Amino acid sequence: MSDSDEDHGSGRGEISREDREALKARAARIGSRLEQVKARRAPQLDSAARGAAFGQAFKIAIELVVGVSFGGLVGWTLDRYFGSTPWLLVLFLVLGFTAGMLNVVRSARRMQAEAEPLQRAAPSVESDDEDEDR
Amino acid sequence: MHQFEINRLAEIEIFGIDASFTNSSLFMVLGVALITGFFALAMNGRSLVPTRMQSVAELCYEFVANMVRENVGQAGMKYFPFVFTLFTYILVMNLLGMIPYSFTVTSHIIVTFALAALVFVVVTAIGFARHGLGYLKLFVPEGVPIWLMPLIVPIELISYLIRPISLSVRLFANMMAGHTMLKVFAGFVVSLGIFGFAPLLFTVAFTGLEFVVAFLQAFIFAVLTCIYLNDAVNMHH
Repeated sequence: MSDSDEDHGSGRGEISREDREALKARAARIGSRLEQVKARRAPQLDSAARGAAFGQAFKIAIELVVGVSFGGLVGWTLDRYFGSTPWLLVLFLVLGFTAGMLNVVRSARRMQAEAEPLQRAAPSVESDDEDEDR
Repeated sequence: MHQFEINRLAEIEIFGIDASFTNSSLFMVLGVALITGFFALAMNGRSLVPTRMQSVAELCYEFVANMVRENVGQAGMKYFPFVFTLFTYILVMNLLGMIPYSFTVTSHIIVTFALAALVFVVVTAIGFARHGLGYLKLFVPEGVPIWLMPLIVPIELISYLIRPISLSVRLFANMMAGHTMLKVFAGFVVSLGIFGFAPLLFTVAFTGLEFVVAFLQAFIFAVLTCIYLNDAVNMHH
């Protein structure tokens, strides 16, 4: 806001210097008020975003837990059926863990693929806005 | 806890199977009636410039349609009614549960498991119908050396089989945990006396979060259904 356009100010129109200063002051005031409103609004948005992030974290955690417990259950049942305690339980626990991990990696990769264009776009858009204000 | 209890409203027994009409069934019927009634009413006018209700209905349609198109592609629009039904059903069930004294159908694992099992069966059936036995290639990823197959195939198989479990546990656990948490903290309000305002504030804030969760879980369920459908329709990971 501080950098002035006096170099080519005369060619811009018939606004007197005082008027221009007043306009600038007004623009600065509006800008700071907008900032205030934005700051007030931000926490609300933040809580919704946090809810979404919480959901995603939960989604991944569940994936892992279910993988291990399903593997354990299958191994335990097969062990009882074949009487081979505890070898199948061990085997299927490991397999279940791996499968859960596989699902975690897949969903994480999907989330990343979704988030990446947003992340790349976000900062540039914000700085563009500021440039226009000046 | 009282809010999770199932009560028989009308005892029905079919061939020795207890098929009583419970409070859970009542809320399911209520929810389905609400959805059907809402969309019938909202789309009744079918005006070019939509009314408020028609806008909401169209918003729902666009939301799910975009989800299906993004995740499955145009070929997946054949299965749009399935995803749309699941989404609206779960959303309305979750939201109905937010009304005090009501019953949250989706806080029972058997209900969510039935939904997830339905998704699992339908997706598997679609996969086999479209690709025949070639659908089994889903368990054999490309570019894996043959000696690793005995390890990879069981892992892929298990990761496919646990889908309905993680799908159902996620929805059930979220709804159940949220409602339990609300109940526990609401209990603190009375027992803490004058300091009860702190848990009260938390309860109010958490109620808002619960609405987010109610929507989010319906959304996640629908998105995952789309992702599984994508596997079945397009057959690449």
